Parts: sequence; structure tokens; C-alpha cells
Amino acid sequence: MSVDLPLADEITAVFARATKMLLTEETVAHALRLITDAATAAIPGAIGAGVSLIDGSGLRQTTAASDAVVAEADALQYELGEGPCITAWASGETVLVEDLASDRRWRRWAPAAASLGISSSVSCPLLSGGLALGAVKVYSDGGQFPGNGTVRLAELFAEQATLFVIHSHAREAARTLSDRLQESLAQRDTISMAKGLLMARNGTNDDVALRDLMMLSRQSGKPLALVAAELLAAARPFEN
Amino acid sequence: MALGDEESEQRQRFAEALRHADVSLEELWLRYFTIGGHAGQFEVEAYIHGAMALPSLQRDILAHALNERLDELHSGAPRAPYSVDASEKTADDGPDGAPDAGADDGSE
Repeated sequence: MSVDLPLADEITAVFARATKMLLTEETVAHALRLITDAATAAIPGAIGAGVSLIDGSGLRQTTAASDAVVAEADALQYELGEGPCITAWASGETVLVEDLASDRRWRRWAPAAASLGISSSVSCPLLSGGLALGAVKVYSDGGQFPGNGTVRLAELFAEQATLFVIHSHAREAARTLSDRLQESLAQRDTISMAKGLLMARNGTNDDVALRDLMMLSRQSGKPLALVAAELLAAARPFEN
Repeated sequence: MALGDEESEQRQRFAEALRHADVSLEELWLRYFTIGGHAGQFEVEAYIHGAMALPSLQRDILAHALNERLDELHSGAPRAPYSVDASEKTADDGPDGAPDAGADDGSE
């Protein structure tokens, strides 16, 4: 999964990665796992909690689940393409299921989840800017769950999880330099070489050489990178 | 410190040209960086908003990046000016005319 970072951020993230300023994948996974454990412990009646990440192409994965029931109920949602977490992700709003047995919104998922022992749930979207990244969900097997306090708690856990998910996205995006950045660096390199060529040829410094290149670009009406490439190409007399 | 007159004038005409370029500041900074600009995105944004001064070479590189964008669009909008045009004339007798007169034929 990747997000479009502004390029300056991307460069910053690459250096942050190189200097180990970003949390490792393991740390983020561990943090998400702790959040699901905390949600399970804090919310009365909860039997488990999980974090689902869903990207724009609908690719889903549960990155943290407090237990096997959660993992299974989530897998069912992805398999059937329906369920409260998918609804929360798609709508960007918290989805409360007070009584799963009588809920008609997910005709296939609801009975399957009920057979796992789940009777109610709260699913909160992970929101960053205008983007829904996934959902945090808490499943319950009954009791006083879920009330308004439960919803608020689940939303707090979702906000916490969002911070870690955003962080791991930045890390992913910084794993490799984007094509755009590579192209930019390659052109910058070409221009630097052309500057060096002009400096040697004219006995000038690099500022003057860059001004010369800009002037050539303006006079020819060609982009500066092209002018630089042409200068370099013309400077290879022994090419055979 | 406040921007000097020449820089202020260049910046204002730059901002005017920018309105026709249909380009985000992010993209413009990338173009500026690509052709050899040194200032960070923050500095460039601050300059565009008149909050910070940039050295004349950096201003000119930024103007050039913007003008290449306008060329791409085949825009008829006025190009962003360069500081060298205002402060000095090229030593060699090139074919380009005097920059001060209004008789800008716009050839090439």
C-alpha cells in the first residue's frame, strides 16, 4: 500500500529511514496489536478487537487482531465483500451493530459472524485527511455493550491506530524513491554535468554556468534539461 | 528584512505569471529542484508569499522553472522576469534586444 507524499516529504522520509528515525515495521505492528489488546480490555463485553487496512483498490488486510475470532470474522468480511468494517471504511462513519442476529444490512456476513459467537460490534474508520485507510473494530458477545461510551472509546482507539498507520505509510512510501523523484534526480545530474562542462570550457564558476545554461534554454526555447543533454552529447568527439 | 525593490518587483511579476501556470507549489518546487535549485520547499513558498528573500540566482532558477511550465502550456501569459535582465546586460553582443524598451518583438 502506498500513498502519494509530497516530494519534499518523500526526500525527508528517505533520510529519516536511512537514519533510523522512523519506527520499524515490527514496532508499528506491535503498537497496533497493543491498541487492539487495550480496546478489548477497556471496552466492557468486548471479546476482541482488530485493525483492518483497506486501500483504494479494495485490497484488504487485517494487520492486527487480538485473537482468532477477530481474524476469522474479518476474513469473512473480505471474502464476502460486506460487513460493518467495509461499510465504515466506505462511508467514513462509525458503524454500530447493536444486535447482529436481527441486523439486515449484511445478509451473508451477519449469520456467519453470529455463528462465531459475536452478537454486536463497533467499527470506526481510520481517517487521514479526506482518506479512509481502514477500520478499527471491536466485537462483543453480549453484556451491556455497545453504548455511546463504547463508541467513543472505540473512536479513540481508532484515532490512535490511525497515527501508527499513517506512520507506516510514510515508511512504505519512502522504501523506494518514486519514479518521479528518480527522473528529477537524473535530470539534475545531467544539468550538473553540463554545468561542469561549461565551467571547464569557459573558466567560470557554477553559478555563472547555470546562468549560461538558462540563457541557452531561453534563446533556443528548449527546456534546460534538454539543452544540458545536448551539450553533453555534443561533447563526445570520440564516440564510435 | 523587507524585500528590496528589484526583488519585490520580480516577485510580484512572478506571482502574476504563476496564476497562469496551473501548477501546484509542490510541482513547481520539484521543477525548480530538478533544474538545480537549492532552496527548500518552505523557503520557496515563503518567497512566493513575500515573506522571505531568495538570492538572485535562486529567484531566476525559480522563474525559469515557471517559464518552462508556461512554455509547456503554450501560454500567452507574460513570463516571469529574471533578475539579470534588470541589473545587467549581457557582455557579448547577442541578438536579443534591449530589455527596457516596450518594443519586445518576442522572436524565438
